[in-house]
Amino acid sequence: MKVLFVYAGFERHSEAHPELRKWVPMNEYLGSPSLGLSMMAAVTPPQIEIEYRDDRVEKADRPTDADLVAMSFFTPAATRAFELAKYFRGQGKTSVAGGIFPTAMPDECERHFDVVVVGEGERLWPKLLADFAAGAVKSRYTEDQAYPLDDVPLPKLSMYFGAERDGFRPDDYPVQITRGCPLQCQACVLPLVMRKSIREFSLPHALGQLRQLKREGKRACLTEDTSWFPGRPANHLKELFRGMIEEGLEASISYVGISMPQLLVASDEVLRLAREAGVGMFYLVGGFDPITMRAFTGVDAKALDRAHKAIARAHRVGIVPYTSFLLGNDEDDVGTVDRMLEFAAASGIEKAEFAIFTPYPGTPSWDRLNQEGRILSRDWRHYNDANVVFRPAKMTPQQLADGYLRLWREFYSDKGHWADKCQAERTIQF
Amino acid sequence: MTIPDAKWESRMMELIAEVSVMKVSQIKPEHRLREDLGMDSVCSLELISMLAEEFGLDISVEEAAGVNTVSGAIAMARKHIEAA
Repeated sequence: MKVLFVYAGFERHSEAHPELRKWVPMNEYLGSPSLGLSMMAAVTPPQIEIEYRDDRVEKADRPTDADLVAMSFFTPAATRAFELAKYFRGQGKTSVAGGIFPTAMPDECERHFDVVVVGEGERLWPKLLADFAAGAVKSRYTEDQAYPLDDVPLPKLSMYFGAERDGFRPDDYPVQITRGCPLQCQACVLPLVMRKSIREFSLPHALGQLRQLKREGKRACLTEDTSWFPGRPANHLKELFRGMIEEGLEASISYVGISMPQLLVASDEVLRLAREAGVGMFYLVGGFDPITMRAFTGVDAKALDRAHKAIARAHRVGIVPYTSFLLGNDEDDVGTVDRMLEFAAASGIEKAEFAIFTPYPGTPSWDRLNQEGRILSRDWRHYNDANVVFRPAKMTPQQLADGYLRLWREFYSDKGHWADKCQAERTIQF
Repeated sequence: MTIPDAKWESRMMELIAEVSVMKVSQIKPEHRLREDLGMDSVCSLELISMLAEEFGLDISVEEAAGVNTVSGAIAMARKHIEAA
């Protein structure tokens, strides 16, 4: 038996708006494929043959001798995943969907795929394979409990390393430290996909993920803001940083994700350990938290002051605050663009990216905007933070789209000096 | 661990003011964190981080996520102070 894992392509900001390549003197970040597929590969019985295709690099809809074609995808890749499923089903293959979008929209996926996996897949995937081998595969597999992370093997990243070549060398690979979140943030899909309590991977597992990357000369990114949450998660993160320092894994981190509230309240100790562990850049996600949702509305001086303090703290600890600005929250108006640019200049942000608020299926925002009749498009290709897919509250859709482009153009208008930096230093997502 | 002094409640009100949209003089125990003070769940996280820093309290994210009012936040902190 053979399984073909496919990572479906999606539209990047620079593909939706080619003018960005002219305005932005930075290198385009190439992320790794889904961690989910490498986890499924890791729990695939060894007697089953595996093939991997990255549709971003080379179109995946070409003949295969695999029996089963499995895709894990998020919303921007959903339309392409449907196209690929159609092709492979036409070839007589059984198609399987899993990951963020299929968990949020299983009924829609069921119209395109033979099998839909809802929730974490580690327990379901081996069962699905066994059912398929026995000729009894079901149309849907649903995980109804949190999978114990003690039992999870390391992701099979060798599947991706083996596929690397010119034109496909991801800048880094994600390292997962926790799963789940008890919070109900408007724009976050995490509680739906990974459940509502935080579960930490053991320290040996997290260090094992880093070692696996270091051995291959790859860099890691730590993307979860939940890792900084006070109490158990932050203590776990400190232990991880200490472990990295002890093992000499410092050079292997490209960035660590964090939000402004967490950056403000993180202890001096955890920030010092982060720096010592080689963390040189924060990926500072904005637009989802109470500080960045209010700081640029022009009516909350306290939030603006706290945003300044967050950036100043990153500078003070010596970690570059690569800042992601989200435009289009309900309190944002046309003046928000000027306020964001002013803030970026005054706080000394040198590296930024800009995104359009997008109500992803599975988030509270999606439910709310649907109820309010404000969803303008269900073309999932456009759910990539670079297109307006909903009706904004205080702007027209065109004003929001124009504001997003203006942010990119004006922020980078005086940043030509980045062109002289090395590729790793000037890499951003766009 | 830092042992909070008798004025911890008023200090806690200051911390709530820091992460909310209100001034400390405007905050009342009956206020709801989300609806009245504009605090969402991330603000609750900020608050428990501050309580950890100031008073050495180890409050879980899950516990804080279940608190809805100022008086509830004070009761949560009191429980941890008394247990310390």
